[in-house]
Amino acid sequence: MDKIDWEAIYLQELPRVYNYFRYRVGAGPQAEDLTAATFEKAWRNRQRYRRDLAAFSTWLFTIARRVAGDHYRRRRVEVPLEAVTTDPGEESLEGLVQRKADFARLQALLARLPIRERELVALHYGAGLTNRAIARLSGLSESNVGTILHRVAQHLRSTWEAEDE
Amino acid sequence: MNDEEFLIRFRQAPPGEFTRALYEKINPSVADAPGSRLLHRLAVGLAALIFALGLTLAASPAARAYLAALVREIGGLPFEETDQYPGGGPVEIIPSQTLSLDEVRLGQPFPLGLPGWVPEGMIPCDQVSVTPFQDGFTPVTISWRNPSARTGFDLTVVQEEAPWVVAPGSTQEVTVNSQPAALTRGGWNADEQTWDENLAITLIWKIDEQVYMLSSITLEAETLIRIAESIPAP
Repeated sequence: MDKIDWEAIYLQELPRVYNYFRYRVGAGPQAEDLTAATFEKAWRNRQRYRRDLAAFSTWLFTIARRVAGDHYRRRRVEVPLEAVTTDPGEESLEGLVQRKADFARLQALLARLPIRERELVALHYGAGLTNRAIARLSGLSESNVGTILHRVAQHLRSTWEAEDE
Repeated sequence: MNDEEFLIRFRQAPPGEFTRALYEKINPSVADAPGSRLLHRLAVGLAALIFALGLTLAASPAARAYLAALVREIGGLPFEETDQYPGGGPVEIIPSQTLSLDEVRLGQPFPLGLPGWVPEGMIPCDQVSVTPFQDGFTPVTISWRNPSARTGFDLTVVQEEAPWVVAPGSTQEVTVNSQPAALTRGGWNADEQTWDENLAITLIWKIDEQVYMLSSITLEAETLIRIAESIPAP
């Protein structure tokens, strides 16, 4: 345990957890707050982490998913769809702005997905976890994860393109 | 673009300020510790870029006049080449403000050009760093990072064409869109008080009246030039 480079782990895992929450609950302060809550919990309990049981990222994302679940339990009634759609105050300017607008548009599409599908999208496309790692976290089979992700990605892409027409 | 690329293109690096603040929060002991590797990793690119510039501008009028006599042009920009570390004496740490790009654009009296091309996987950080020096000199820095490849670069835009203090032979003339520019390899290491050739590569050039600086620890000079050439005149 003493040989674990926590700083390197922090730098490696922070962008993954941050993007998990961006895809799961939306960009902005919410994603930062939930990322912070995850790392605070993980760091408080990091001595309990056992390398012989799971990869650190699996352990960390177990915590992240609990944090996301708590967030939704607290806010289920309070968060309308409009809250995750385009924020006009963020829009302006070239590629950066287009990216923000596009991501807000994607968030609106993600918000329409069932919770399980959105969770898988956040873990795979946001955090970059493999289907195998997601299977360990979710209890689904690896092939089931792959099938669901394939179907959801196609659905999101076709809905996006249909809106463009 | 396949379905995978369609969905992962929205990944984004966490803002630098958030990264630092959270690390300090979960590791209180590092907040005051000099030489934290994390802080070093995050700050070194900008420090290499800004340090000599800040020192030069913070110098007294007499020092500025002295420097003016030693300044020569490289790539159409003023440089003073010296083996002597330009620091010394008390150092004032000027905290940066972090703002959104929209806030910076609204508050900035000059237009800000952004790259039309960056290396694959590079994503811009949400927050823009603005460092207000006492005499109105206010560099604006936007960072791009590729978290998976642990690489990145910083784009800094300033209005003032200051003389940069660099080591002899560290700076050469190159071209950006057929216009003269300067490429500096290295930066002043404040701890060792020496020039560190490996600190960063910095490309400096002008667009209209603004000075643009691209700095990276990991990217090659050719890549910085390609990024620079994709920035349109505002």
